[in-house]
Amino acid sequence: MASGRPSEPPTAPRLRPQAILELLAKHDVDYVVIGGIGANIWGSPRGTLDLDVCAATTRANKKRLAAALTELDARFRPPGLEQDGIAPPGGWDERTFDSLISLATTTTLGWLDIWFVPDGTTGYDDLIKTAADARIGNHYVKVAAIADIIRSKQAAGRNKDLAAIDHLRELDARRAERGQSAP
Amino acid sequence: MIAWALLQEARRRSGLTQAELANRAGVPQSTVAKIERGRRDPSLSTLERLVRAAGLELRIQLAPRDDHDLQLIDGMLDLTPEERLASLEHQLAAFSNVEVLRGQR
Repeated sequence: MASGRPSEPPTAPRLRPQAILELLAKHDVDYVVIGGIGANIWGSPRGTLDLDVCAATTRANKKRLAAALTELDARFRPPGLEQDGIAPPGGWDERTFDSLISLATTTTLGWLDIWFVPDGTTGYDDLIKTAADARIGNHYVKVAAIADIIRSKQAAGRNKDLAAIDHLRELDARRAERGQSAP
Repeated sequence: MIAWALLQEARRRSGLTQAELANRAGVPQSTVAKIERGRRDPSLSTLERLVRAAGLELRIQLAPRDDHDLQLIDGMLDLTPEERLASLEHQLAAFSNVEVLRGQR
């Protein structure tokens, strides 16, 4: 358990991406896996503390997403309050996402970040065109193309994003050398 | 070599703005911005010119390649996507055990 001293970074709950993805599938949420876990599915060995997904913005999908977040006991994860988070007043429903382009949550299965408009993209409809299917458990999940993950990291422009780009390019080149086109 | 990181560091050390560095090197400011954001890979001569404009010198050496990252990638590419996520979860579990041990001291 963390000591809670302010000088220490917050301890992320243990991330269980497969369980989260299965739960999103159970609720029929339309989404594309992006970010570090997207890169992992493509074969990156680098670790990450959160799962990033880009969700479709239709009203019906937001309703399904709200149901999934309710089951995950998701809470907003603002800086400084990453440990406990803040539950949305009145619980999750489709209106919770109004005017948001992204939200960081802490859940019973780890940190889950929902994006409606990831950096460098126009959102789900943009990413789904080139997304690939990856079998995870009993479901197929949509994972963003490596080129799109790179595009988003370039647009985000943080040092940690830029540092990942060379690695992703190397991964992409290695996959091409091995003739691996599908995840 | 990571050009964006080198250029960011060179400019940080010089205390110059992107526009000032670009002006000294005789390139458009947008060139500096694109390189620093990883959107453009500069030629070696362009990078050298920018680093010199920051008052520094670019030294390049040959060294044996560290292919550790590539070996890890190959190991992951031998797995299915599901196995890759399981591998990640295994790593994260190991780290969380370290955290618990730390808390028990």
